[in-house]
Amino acid sequence: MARDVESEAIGALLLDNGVLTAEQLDQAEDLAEDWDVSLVKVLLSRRWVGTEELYRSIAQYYDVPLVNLFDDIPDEDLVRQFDPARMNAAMTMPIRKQDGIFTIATARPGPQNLLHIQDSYGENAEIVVASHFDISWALQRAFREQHSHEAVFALAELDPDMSAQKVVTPPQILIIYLLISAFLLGMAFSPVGTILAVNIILTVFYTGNFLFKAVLVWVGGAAQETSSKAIAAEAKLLRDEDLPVYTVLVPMFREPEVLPILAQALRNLDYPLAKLDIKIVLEEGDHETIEAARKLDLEGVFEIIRVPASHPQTKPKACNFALRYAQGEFLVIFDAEDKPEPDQLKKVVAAFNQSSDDTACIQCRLNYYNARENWLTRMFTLDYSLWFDLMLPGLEKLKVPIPLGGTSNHFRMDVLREMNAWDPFNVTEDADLGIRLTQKGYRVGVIDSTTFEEANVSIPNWIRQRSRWIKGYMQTFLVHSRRPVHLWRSVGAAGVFGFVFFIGGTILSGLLNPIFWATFLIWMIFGAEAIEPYFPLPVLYLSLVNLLAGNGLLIYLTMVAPFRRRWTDLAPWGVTVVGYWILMTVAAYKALQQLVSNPFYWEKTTHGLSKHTASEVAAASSGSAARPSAEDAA
Amino acid sequence: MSRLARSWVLWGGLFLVLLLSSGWAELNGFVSDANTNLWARIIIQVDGPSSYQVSDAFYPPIPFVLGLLAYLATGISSVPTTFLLAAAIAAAQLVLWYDSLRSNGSFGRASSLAILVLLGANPFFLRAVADGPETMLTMLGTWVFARGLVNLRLTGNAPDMMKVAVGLMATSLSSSYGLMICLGALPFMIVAARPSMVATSSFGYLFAMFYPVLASIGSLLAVAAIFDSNLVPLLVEDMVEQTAREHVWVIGSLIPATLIACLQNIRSGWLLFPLLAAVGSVIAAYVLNFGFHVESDPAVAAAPLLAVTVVALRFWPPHPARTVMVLSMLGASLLLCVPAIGKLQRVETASWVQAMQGRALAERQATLEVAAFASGKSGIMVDVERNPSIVTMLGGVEQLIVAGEPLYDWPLEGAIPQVPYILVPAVAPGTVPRDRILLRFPELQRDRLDGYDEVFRNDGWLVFEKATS
Repeated sequence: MARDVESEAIGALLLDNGVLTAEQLDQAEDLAEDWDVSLVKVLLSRRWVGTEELYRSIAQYYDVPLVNLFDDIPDEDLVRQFDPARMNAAMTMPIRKQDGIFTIATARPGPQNLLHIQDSYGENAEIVVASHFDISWALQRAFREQHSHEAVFALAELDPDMSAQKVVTPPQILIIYLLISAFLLGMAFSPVGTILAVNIILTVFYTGNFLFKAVLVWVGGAAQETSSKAIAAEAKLLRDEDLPVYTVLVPMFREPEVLPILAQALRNLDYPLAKLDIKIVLEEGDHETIEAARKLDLEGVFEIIRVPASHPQTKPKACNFALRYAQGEFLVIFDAEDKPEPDQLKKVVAAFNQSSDDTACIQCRLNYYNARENWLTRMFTLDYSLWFDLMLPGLEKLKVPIPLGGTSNHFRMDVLREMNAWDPFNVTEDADLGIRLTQKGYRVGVIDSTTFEEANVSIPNWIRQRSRWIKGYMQTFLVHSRRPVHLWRSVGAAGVFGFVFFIGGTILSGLLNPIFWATFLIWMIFGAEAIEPYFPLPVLYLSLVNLLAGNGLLIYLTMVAPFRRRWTDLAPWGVTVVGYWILMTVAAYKALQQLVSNPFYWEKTTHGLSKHTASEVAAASSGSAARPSAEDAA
Repeated sequence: MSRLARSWVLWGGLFLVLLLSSGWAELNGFVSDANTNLWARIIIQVDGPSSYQVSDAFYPPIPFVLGLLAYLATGISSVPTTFLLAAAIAAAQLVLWYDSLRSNGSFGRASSLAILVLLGANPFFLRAVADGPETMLTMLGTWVFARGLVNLRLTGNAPDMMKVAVGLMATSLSSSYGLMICLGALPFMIVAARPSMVATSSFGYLFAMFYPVLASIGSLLAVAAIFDSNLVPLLVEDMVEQTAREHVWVIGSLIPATLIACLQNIRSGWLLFPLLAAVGSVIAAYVLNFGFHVESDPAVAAAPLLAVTVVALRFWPPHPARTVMVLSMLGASLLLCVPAIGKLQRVETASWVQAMQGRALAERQATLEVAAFASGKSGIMVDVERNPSIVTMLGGVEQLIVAGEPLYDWPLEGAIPQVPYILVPAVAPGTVPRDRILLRFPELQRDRLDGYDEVFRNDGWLVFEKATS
C-alpha cells in the first residue's frame, strides 16, 4: 500500500524535530508499507520514539492540543453515557462538555476518526489528542465498576445454565442424594450385591476409559498430517499486509521475574508487531509486577490492564475485564512464561482461513522447554505430549467437545464476545469454554504449532496446579451435565460419550484408583478368598484385564506420546507413570475437598522455579533469546 | 453393492474354500497338534467340570480366548472351533491383503484378486491354515508389524508406531514361534527406524517398540503366578532334525519372491530398509528357531514370509508392467513352493501333504480305536493336558475324570486310584513319559498296577479297568 499523506507528514515532522533519524524513518516507512499500517503504529511498535513525544508530534501536525488524561481527568459521568466498546475501538472519547460542545480526546486524529467524532458528538466538537494509553486508562477508570461487574457476572446473568457460579443445581443434588441413598440402602440390605454391582459398573467404566484413550491416540496420531502441511504452506504465503490485528492477552499475577521472557517471546513472533495488541493483564494490587513491567520500557503495543480487585480473584475474570479493551480481530491467551513458536499466529490465521465458518477457536499444542530437568518435568512432558499431540487431535477428528488447555487458544473475537467469554467461577475456564463453544454450535480446531512453557519442577507446586485443574474439570462436568438432553442434542452421542470419558474419566480415575489399588493389595496380601465375594470370576477376569492390559496400555500410550517430537529418550520414563498417577490421585482428592469447601479458589502456580528460567530471563533481558523450538526443549 | 458388502462376500467365499481345505485334510486323517491342543483346551474349559484345574493354562492367550469366544458364540461342536477360527482369520487376512493392494497399492480389482488367489493357493499358506489359529494369528501379526514398520519410516506417526507394537504383541501372544519373530526383529528395528527416531536415543526407541511385548509376557507371567500355572514348558517343542536341504527348499521357495518385491524399491532407501528389516525379522526368527526349537515344522516357521511379501507388493512402485511381473513372480513362486513343501519329512507338514493328496493317514487310527473302545464308558481318568487328542476324539469330557476332581488329584498325590478306568498313552520302552499319570504310576506300562487290569492296548494307547474284587 502506498504511504498515506498523514504518515508522510508526521514522519517528516519527526525528522525535522530530530526525534527520528533518517535511517529510522526510512525503515519505519518501509515497514508501514509492508504491513499496511500507519507510520504511527509502526513507531509504537519500536522503541525509537517515546510515546509522549510521538503524540506531541501528532498533535503538532493536526494543530490541536495534547492532553494528559492522568492530569486532565475526564468527566466520568459524561464518558459513561457512551458505548465503551465503540470508544475503545475508535480510541476516542469525550472528556468534557461545556455549553453543549464536547471536547473529544482521540489517539487517532485522522480523517476517518473525524467522521466518527462528527457522527457521535456533533459537528462542533473540539478535538484534542491523547495517547492511546491515556484513553484506555481513562476508559478503564470510567467503566471500572461496570466492567468489573460484567467480568464477574456477565455469563452468570445472561446464560446462567452455563455458569459455574452455582456449583450444583437442585436436580443434581437430588440425583446425588438418590445415588447415595441407593448405595447406602444396598449396603444395608445386600452389601455383597451392592459392592458387586458397583464393581461391575466401575470395571466396565475403566475398560471403556482405556479403550477410548487408545482410540483417541490412534485417531489423533493419524489426524492432522495433511492439514498441518496445508496450514504451514498457507502461513508461509500470507503477506504481512493482509494480516489482521491480533490481541494477545497475558494474564499475570505476582510474577515479575518472567516478564522479560514474555516480552522477548512476543517480539520473536513472526507477525508485524504493529498489528499486535498486547495486553498484560495485572491485578491492580500487584504493584510489584506493574512496576517491573513499567521498568522494562516496552514498546507502545504493550499495554498494562489493571484489573480492579473483586471476588473471585481468578484468571478468567481478569481476562474478561481486559477483553473489554481488546482491539484485535483474533485473540490469544499466553501465560507469562510462554514461548510460542514464532509462526504460531500466522498458522492460526491460515487455519481460520482454511476452516469452516463455524470455527471459533484454534487450540495450539503446549509443551515444555525444561522437559528433562527432573522426573516430574519428564512425566509432565509425557503427559502434555499425550494430551496435546495425540488426544486433542483425536477429539477433534471424532467431533468430541475439546476442553481447551491453559494457554495458546486463539479465538475469533466476535464469537468470544458473543459467548460472554470465560466463566470466572470456573477454575479451568478454558476447558469449560471449549465445551461451551461446541454446545453452541461452534467448532474448535487443533493445529500443529507449539507453545513451550515452564514445566512444574516441584511436587507440591504441581499438586496445587493439578488440583485446580481437576477441580475445574469437576466444575465443568457439573455445569455441562445439568441439561443432559440439551448436551446430547447439541454435541451428539459421540460428543456425550467423549465428554463423559474424557472429562469424567479424568476426574474419576484419579478418585477411584486408590480403591482399586487397595483391593489389589488386599488380594496380594490376604489371597483371593478375601475379595472373591465381591469379584465373581467374570468381574475378576475383567479387573485383571484392566489391571494388566489397561494399565499396560496407558503406560504404552505415555511412551508413544513423545515420539511425535522424536523425544525418544523420554519414552522409557513412561514405565514410571504409575508414580505420576499417585500424584494425580492426591491432587484429585484435594480438588474434591476444595470443590466442597472453596469452589472458586484459584490455586496459584508459582512460575520461575525452573533453573532454566533463570537463563531464559537472562537471555531475554539481553534481547538475544533463541527462538523457541523443539530443539530448545531437547 | 457397497465396499463393505463386497468385502463380506469375498470373506465368505474365502472362508468356505479354506474351511474345505482344512476339512479335506481332516477327512484324510490330518489334524495338526496345535489344532488338537487348542480345541481340547477349549472343550475342557467350556464343557469341563467347574473344578477343573489347569496347569499349563494361558499361553498363547489370543487364540485361546478367541477360540473360547467363538465356541461360546457359535455353539458348534460338530466342526472343531479351531478349524472355523483358523479359516475365518485366514479369510479375513486375505480380504485385508486384497484391500491393502487395492486401496494402498493401487492394484486393479482383477489384479488384486489374481494376487489373492496365488497367495491363498500357496501351499505354505494352506499349511498355515491347517495348522490352526495360532499360526494364522502369527501371520496376521507379522503382516501388521511389517506394514507398521514401513509406514513408521514414512510417517513417523503414532498409529504406525502402534501397528509395529501391536503386530509384535500379537505375534508374541499368538504362538511361541511369535516370540522368535519378536526376538528376531530386535536388531532389525534399528535398520528400519527413521534416523530422527534413533538420533536422540536408540534405547528409548527400542524400549518403546518392545514394551508391549515385554508387558504382555510380564502380564502372562503374573497371571501364571496368580493361577499357579506353568508358562514356560509349553513354549518349546520336541526337536525334529531337518536336513540342510529341506531348509534350503523351504526358504529358497519363498524368499525369492519376497526379495524381488522388496528390491523394487532399491532406489528408495526409506522403503527398502524397513522392508528388508521385516524380511530379516522373519528369517532371524527362523534361524533362532534352530536353537530354541519352539516350532518343529519349517513350513509353519517360514509361512509368515508370505505376509511380508504382501507388504512388499503393496509398496511395489506402479509402472505398466507391474501387474504382469507380480503375477508371473507369484506364479513362479507357487510352482516352486509346491515341490518344496513336499520335500519335508518327519514333520507334520509331510502328513498334511499326504492328506491333501487324498492319501489317508494311519496316525489317528490308534486314537480312533481307543475312542471307539471308550464309547459308552464313563469315569475314565486321563491326563487331558498331555493327551488332548482324546478329548477332541471323544468330542467332550463327560466321560472323563480330569485334574481338579478329587478322584484324579488324590491318586497323583499318593492315594490309591479309585476310578473305573485309567487311560494312558503307550510309550516306547526307555522313553520318559510326559503323561502325569504314567509318571506317577510307571507300573501301568507293564500292566502291574495293583487293582487294575489292562483291557485295551494298541500302538498309541493303554486302557485299564478297575479289577472287580
